[in-house]
Amino acid sequence: MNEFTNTRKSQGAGMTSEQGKHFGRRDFLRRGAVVTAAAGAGTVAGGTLLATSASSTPGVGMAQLPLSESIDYQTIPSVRLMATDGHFSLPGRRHRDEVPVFGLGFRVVDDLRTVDLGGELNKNPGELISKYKGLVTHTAPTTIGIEGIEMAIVLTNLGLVVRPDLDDSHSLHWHGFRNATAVFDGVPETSIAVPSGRDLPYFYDPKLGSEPGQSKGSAGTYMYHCHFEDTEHVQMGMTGIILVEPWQAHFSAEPISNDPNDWLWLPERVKVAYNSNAAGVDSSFDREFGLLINEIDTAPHDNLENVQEFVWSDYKPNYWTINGRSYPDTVIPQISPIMQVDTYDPGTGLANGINFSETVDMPVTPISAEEIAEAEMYWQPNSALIQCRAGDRVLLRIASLGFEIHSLEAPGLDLDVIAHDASLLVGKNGTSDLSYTTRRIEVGPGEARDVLFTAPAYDDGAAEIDVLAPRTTGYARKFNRYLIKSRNNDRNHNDGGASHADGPSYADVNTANNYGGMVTEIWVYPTWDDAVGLGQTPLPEQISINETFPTLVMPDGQV
Amino acid sequence: MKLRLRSKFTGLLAVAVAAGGMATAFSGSQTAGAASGNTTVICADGAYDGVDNSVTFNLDARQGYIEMPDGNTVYTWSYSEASNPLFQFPGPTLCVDQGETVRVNFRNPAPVGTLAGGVSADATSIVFPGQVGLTASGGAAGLLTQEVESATDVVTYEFVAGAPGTYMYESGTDAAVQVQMGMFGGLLVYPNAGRNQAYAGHEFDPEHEYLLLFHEMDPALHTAVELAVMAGGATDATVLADYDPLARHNRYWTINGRSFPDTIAENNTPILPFQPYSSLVQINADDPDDGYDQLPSLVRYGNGGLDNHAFHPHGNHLSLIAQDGRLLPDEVESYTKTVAAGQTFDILAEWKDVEAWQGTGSPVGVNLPALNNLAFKDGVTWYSGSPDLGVEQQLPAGTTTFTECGEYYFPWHNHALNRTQNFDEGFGGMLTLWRVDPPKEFIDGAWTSPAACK
Amino acid sequence: MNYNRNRSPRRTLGLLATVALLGSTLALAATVSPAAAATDVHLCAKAGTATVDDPTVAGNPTTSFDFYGFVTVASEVECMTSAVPTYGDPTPIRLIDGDPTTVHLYNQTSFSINFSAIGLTGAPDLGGVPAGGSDTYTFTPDHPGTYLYESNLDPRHSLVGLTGVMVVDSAVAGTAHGTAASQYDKEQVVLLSEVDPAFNATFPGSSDLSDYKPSLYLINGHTFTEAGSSGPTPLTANANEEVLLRYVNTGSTNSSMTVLGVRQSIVAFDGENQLGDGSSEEDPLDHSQVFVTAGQTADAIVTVAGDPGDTLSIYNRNLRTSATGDNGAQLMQIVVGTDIIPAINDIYFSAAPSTRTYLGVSVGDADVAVYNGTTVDIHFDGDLHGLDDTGSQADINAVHVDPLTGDVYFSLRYDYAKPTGGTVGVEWAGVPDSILQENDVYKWDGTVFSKWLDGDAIGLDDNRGRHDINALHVFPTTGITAFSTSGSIQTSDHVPLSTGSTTWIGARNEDVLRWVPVFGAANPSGAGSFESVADFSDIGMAAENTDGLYLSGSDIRISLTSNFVEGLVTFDHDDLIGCLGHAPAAPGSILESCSGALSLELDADDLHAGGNAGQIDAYSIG
Repeated sequence: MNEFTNTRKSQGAGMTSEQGKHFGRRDFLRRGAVVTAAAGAGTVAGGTLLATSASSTPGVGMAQLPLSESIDYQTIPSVRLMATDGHFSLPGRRHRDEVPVFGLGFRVVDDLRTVDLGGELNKNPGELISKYKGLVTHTAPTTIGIEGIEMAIVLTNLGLVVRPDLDDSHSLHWHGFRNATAVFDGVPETSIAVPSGRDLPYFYDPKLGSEPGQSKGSAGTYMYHCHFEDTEHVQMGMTGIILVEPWQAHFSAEPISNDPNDWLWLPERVKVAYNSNAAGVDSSFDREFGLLINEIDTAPHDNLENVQEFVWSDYKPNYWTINGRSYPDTVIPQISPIMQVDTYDPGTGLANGINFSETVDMPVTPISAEEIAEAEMYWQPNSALIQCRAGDRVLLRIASLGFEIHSLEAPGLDLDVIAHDASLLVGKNGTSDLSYTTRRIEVGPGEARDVLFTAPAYDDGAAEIDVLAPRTTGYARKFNRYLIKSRNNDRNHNDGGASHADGPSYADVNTANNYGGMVTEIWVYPTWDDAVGLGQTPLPEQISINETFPTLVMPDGQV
Repeated sequence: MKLRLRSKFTGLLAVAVAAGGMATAFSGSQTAGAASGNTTVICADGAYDGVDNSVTFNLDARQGYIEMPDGNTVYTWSYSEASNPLFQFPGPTLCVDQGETVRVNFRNPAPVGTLAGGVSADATSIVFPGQVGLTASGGAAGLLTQEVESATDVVTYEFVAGAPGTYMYESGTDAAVQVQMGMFGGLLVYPNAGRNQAYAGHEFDPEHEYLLLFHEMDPALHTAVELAVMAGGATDATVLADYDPLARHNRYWTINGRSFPDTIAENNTPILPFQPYSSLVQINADDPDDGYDQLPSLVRYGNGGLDNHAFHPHGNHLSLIAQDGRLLPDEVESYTKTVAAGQTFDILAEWKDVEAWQGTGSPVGVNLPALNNLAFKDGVTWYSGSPDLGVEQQLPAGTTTFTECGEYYFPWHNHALNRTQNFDEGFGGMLTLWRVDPPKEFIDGAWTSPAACK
Repeated sequence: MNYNRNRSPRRTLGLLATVALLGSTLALAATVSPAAAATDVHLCAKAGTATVDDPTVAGNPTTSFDFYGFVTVASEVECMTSAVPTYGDPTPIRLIDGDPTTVHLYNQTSFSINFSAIGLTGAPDLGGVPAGGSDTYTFTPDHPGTYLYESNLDPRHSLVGLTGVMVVDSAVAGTAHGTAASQYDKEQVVLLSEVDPAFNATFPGSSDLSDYKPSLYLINGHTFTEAGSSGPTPLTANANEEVLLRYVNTGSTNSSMTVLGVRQSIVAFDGENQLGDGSSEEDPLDHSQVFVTAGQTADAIVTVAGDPGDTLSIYNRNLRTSATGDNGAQLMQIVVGTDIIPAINDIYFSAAPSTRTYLGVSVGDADVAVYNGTTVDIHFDGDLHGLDDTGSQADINAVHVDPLTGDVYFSLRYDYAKPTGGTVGVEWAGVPDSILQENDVYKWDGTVFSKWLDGDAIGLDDNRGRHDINALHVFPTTGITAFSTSGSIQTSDHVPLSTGSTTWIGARNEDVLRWVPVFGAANPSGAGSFESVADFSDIGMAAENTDGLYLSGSDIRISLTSNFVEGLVTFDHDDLIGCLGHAPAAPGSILESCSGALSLELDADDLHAGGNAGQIDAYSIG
C-alpha cells in the first residue's frame, strides 16, 4: 500500500509516513472500505469514502508521488479516478441490442493491490489502462470528504478506446469549492489539465467554519466534473456528486490539527448533514440519497463515436436522467462499485455471466428480466431508488449538471429545504432559520439543494410486493410507492417512447406507466416494529449514501 | 370623497424639497458610476437639474452591427445617447441617485428599421420594469406605453427613482422581436448614503463595481430584420414574413453585448467600437490576517434576454443581498444563481486568501508533476505557471500567459454549457473571467493593489 | 410605492361585500363560513374543443383545437351528458382550509386518468380511473393558497389540458394566507398553458412526446393578439385596491411573469411561502418578476396604480410568442377602474402625558384612538379596564394594533399596579405580575389581558427607566417583537445579544431592535436573540427618540419625540414619518438610507384642531 502524503502542513512536524499508519477507525469499518482499499473490506454501496480505509493500514493507497526532493509528506486520504470512455444504457439504447450510448466519464480504481504501478505516478499506468480503458462509469462515484480534513483526488487520463485519434486532456473541477485556488480549479484555460497517459493530484482542504476567512464551514452538497472542453465532456458524462460531511458527523471536537492522532473520533458516525447552528436548523437524517440530474442529447454522443462534428448550439436533449439513468432504470438497485465489471474478460466478453462482446447475443440460459436490466446498469452503478421506512427522515442531495432548468415535485410529500448550494439557510449572521417547506424543487444548471422529508405512514392496504427482496434469500417486504419527478412533462419520455416496454419488469402494473426520463420512486416500508408485526422482513439500516436493499453483488458472492 | 392623503403629502414634500434645491454633490453631468479603477460601470451623462432634483437623458433608437468572436457580425438594434453619434450595444447605463426624478426623452430620428435607419416603420418605445408611478407623454399610445412612430416623434418617460437598486429598461413594442434585436440597457439607482453603497449599510469597494447584463440572439431573426430593412422597412409583417418566432434558435449568448473572449477586453476597447462595455470582474484577494478589511466588490446581474440563465462563478460562493431592486431581508449564499428573464440581483463578491498563498504559504498540499507532464490548452493560458498567488513562473516553451502579477483567473459563466458557445466554437458565449489580484499592500500610507497588477 | 398595504378588517370586509366581480373572473364568497362539515367536489373529465384568436395569421381570425379537460358538474349523469369542459378555465374549485374534502372523479375520456394536486397528502394514485369509470379522492387541505390539480397518470395529460386550479381559502376572510400582508380586495387567476394543436389532435393514439412542439401560448385559455377579439378577459380594479394574482403554471415551461408599472409582493409559492431569503407570508417582499416554474403556483399581491382607464399588463417576460401582429404575447390586462378608493389607513395613537382632544374627541393617555382620515374614535378606553388616566401614572407610550383582529399590544410609560377586583380584575387575571412594568408588553384581545413580552426575560432591566419600551411593532404569528426604548441601552447594562450570550448589546433611543424568539409565537419572551432593525444613523439621527413605529415589508414608519429636519423638510415631533420601499423587511442589515426620500405620512396638525397643541407618544397603522 503506497502512501500519498501532503507536504505543506507537516513540514515542521517531522512526521514520517510511518507514523501516519495508525488511524483507521471503527466507524469506517462499518462504512466499508474506501474503494481503493485492500480487498476483503466491506462493500461501499455507491459511496467512495475518502477518509481512511477500513483496514488497519492507514490512509488510502495510491501511487507514491515522485519524490523529487526528499520532502516528507503527511498521509492524507485520497481516491484515484480514471478518465476514459465507455458505453451507457438508456431505454431504447441497450447493450444487448448493441446500440448503447457512447460517453466519457470518471471511474474509480478498484483494487490497486493487484496492480503494481511501480510506485511512480506519471509513468504510463500500463496495467490500469489495459484493465479499465473504455469501461468508464456514469455518473462518477459519489465522493465524500470531511470538514477540516485535507484530501486529494488523483486523476489519471487513460485515453479513449473508441477514438484513439483523440488525445483529449481531462481535468477535475470541484463545482462550488469556497476560496478555491486556480491551480486545482480544474479549468485548463486558467490553469493545467491532465494529458492522456498522465496523472495529476488535485489537493483540497475543505475548511472548518472557524478557520480564518471562512464565514461558514465546508459541509454540503457539491458536484465535480471535467472542465476540458467542458460543454462536450460534461454532456458526455464526466459528472459526479462530491459532498463534505460536517466535522460533527465524525468527531467530538473540530479536527484542527493535521495529525490524525489528534482527531477525537466518535464511536459511531452521526448522520447529520450540517453542524449544529445558532439558527436551530436540524439536518439530521436516517437515510441519505444523492440525485444528480442531467439530460442527454444522443446526437453529440453518436457523432463523437462516429468521428463527426457537433454544433453545440444545436443541443436538444432526448433523454433526461437521474444519476445517469432514465426512468424506469432509475429504480434498479445500487451496484457496488467494487463489482463493476472488473471481471470483464475481453477474451470471452463475459462480465458477471452476461456476455457483452460486440457480436454475442443473449446468453443461452435465460435469466430473469430483472437480471438483464441490472446487467445493463453495470456501467451506471448509482441508483436513484429511494427506499425508506415510515417516519424516516430522508435527506435528498439534489444537484444538476444538465443545461436546462428542472422543476421537480414529489406529490404527497412536504419537502424541507435546508440548504442551497452547500450553504445552510441560516442568513448572514447564522442566527435566523431561513429553511422552508415546499412541494417543488427548482434546480437550475449547476445548482444544488439539500432537502429533507419525513417518510409518510405505511399503508399496508395500498402496499405492493417488493420483487427485489425475495432474491436476497427469502426476505419478504412490501412498500407504498411515491414518485419524485420532473414536472416539465414535455421532457418525461425516453426519446419519444413514453412507455418502458423494454425496461425491467420490476414492479407490477403500478409502475407509473407512460413515464420516462427524470423520474424516480420512493418506496416507503413499514417501521421496524410494524414490519415484524406484519410478518415482513424490516428494511435494514442504511450505512452509506444511495444504498439500496439489495445492493447488487458479484455472482461469486463477494459482498 | 376622501383625500388621497398619500398623494397630498408627496406633492407637498416634493414642492418643499424643490423649493430649496437639494444640496447634493452633483451638478452637470453625472460622473462615472463610482470612482475610477477597474469598475466596468460607465454611466451615461444625464443632465442634472438641482432645481427639481431631476436628471434628464436623451436616448435615440439606433441600428448597427456587432462583431462576434467567431467572425460573424449581427445586425442589431439598441439605444444610444443622442449626443453619441455611434451605435452601441447594449444601451447606455443610466445612473441616478435615489429620490431624483428621471426624465428620458426618446426619439427614433434616423428611423431604425427603415432604409434611413429606422427601428420599425411603425413603432418602438422604452419601458422601465420595476419602476412605479411612471408617466409617458408624446408619441402615440401603444400596448404597454407611449410609442415613437416617426422620425419626428419624441416621447418623454418620467418617474421618481424612489428605491435604490439594479434595474433595466427595454423596448415595450413588439418586445419578442425588439428586445431580442438588442433593445435593452441598465438603470442603476444609488442610495443617498453614497455611491459606494448598493444599499445603505452595504458598502463595497467603489473601485470594484460591475454590471453584467445577459442576453442571447438568434442570428436568423436579425438577418430577417436586416433583409426587411433592405427591402424598404422593417414592419412586423415584413420581418416575420420569413422568420417564425416559434423557431427561435439562439446561437450567440452575450454579457454586456459581448461574447467570450471579448467579454474580458477593457471598456471602450478599440477592437469593438459598438460594444463598449467590459465584463472582466477584477478584485483584490482579502488576506484575513493582514489587518486590512478588504471591502467586497459589488456585482449587479441583469437578465435582459428572453431565456432564463443560471450563472456560476468559479473560485468562491457569492452573497446575494437584493433581488429586483429590493434588499432581501437576509443574505442568501449560493454558488450558482438562476436569473429569470427580466430579473436583477445585487451580489457582494469577495475571495479570501485563506491559505496566505501569496508566496509564503502554498495551496499545494501535494507535489505537482513537472510542467511537461501537464497540458496547457492551445498553448495559451491565464495561469501564471505557479500555484501561488502573486508568483509568475516559467511555463513550457511555446505556452504564453496573459497573467501580469501572478493573479488567479476563474471563469464566471452560464452553466447551461451549450450557451458558452460562439455558434459552434467552444469556451465562448456567456462567459467572463474573475481576476483575483494578490491582496492590497500598505505602501506609503495607503492600501493599494500591488504595482505589477495595476 | 406600496403604501397602504394593510386595511383594517372592518373596512376590507365592507369593501369586499359590496364589490361585484366582473366578467369570468371569480365569484368570491363575501364571508367565509366556518369550517363546513365536508366539501364534495364532482369533477368530470371529458374531451372538448377550444376556440381562440390565431396569433400566427394576420388579422388574428379564430382557430380551434381539440383538448381534454376537467369541468365541475352536479353528478356523473351530467358528466356523461350535457357537461362541456372549457379550455384553460380560470374558475377555481374553492375549498376551505382544514375542511375534509372528497373529489368524485368521473372519467368520460377514452383513457385512464387520475386526480393529483400538489399539497395533497397520501400516496399518488398510479393505477388511475379507467375510461368511463369513476373514483373518489379524499383529502383535507392543510394550508390556504392556490393549488394546481391535474391528471399525472401520464405526462401527456397535462399537455392536452387535464389540469385545473384549486383555491383553499384562509379562515381569515379577505386574506390569502391569514396574514395582514396577504389582504386583498380582488383576486385574479392567471392560468398559464401552451398548446400543440397537432399533438392534441392525435392524442392518445400516436402522440409521441418528441414531436410535441407548442405553437400557442395562453392565459386563462385565451391568446392575446393585436387584432384578435377574444383575448383573456381583463380584470377591472380601482387605484389603491390590492389585487391577489393567483399564478397557475399548468404548462411544462418555466415562465418569468411581470406586471408592468407595479411591484408584485410574493406571498407564497404552491401555497407555502418559500423563498429562503427571510421574507414570509407575514412580511413578504415585493419583486418585479415572479418566476413560476412548470406546475408551480404563486400568490402575488399588486396594489393597482394609475388613472381610470389605464391598463396594467401582466405578461410572460420570456416573450414566447407565435404572433405575427405587433404585440402578440402571453398577456392579460388589469384595467384601472373609475372609483377612487381612499388610500388612507386607520392610524392608531395614544395621547401623552394627559388627556387631549383630537378633532373634538377626548383621548386619555391610557387610551388608544383611531383616525381613519376624517374622524377620530376611541379604539381602547383605558379607564374601562382599570388604567386610570386622570393622573399621569397609567400612560400608554407604545402601541401596536393588529389590523386583522383589532388586538391591542401596548407598553406603559411607568410601572403601574395591576388593576384587581371586580370584572376588571377578571380581565387582568391572566397577567402574572402584580406590577405592570414599563419594559413589558401587554395584549388586550377584547376580553382579557395577557403578557406578550417580558422585558426582563429578554435581558432588559425594569429598574432602568432607559429600558422603558416606547415604540412597538408586533408580528403575532412569528412571535417577533420590534421595539425602541425611551433611553439608550448601554453595553454596561449587560443586555445579552442572545439568551445566555456574554456579548452585550448597545442601542440609542432612536434605534429599533427586534427580539426573535426561537419558539416563535408560542413564547415571544422565550430564548432567542436581538437583531438590529434600524439605527437611522445614516440619515443623521443621534439625539432623536423614536416613540412610534410601524414595519411592513420594505416600508418603515416612525414618529419622534422631537422635531427632525431632513434636507429642507421639518417633521414635527408628532408627525408620522415614512421611509418607504427602503427599509429591510427584517434584520441582518442597517436601515436603508432615507435621506431625500422621507415622506410625511400623517401631519399631526390634522388631528389637533388649531395647531400643534397635542402630544402623541405612540403610533400604529391598521
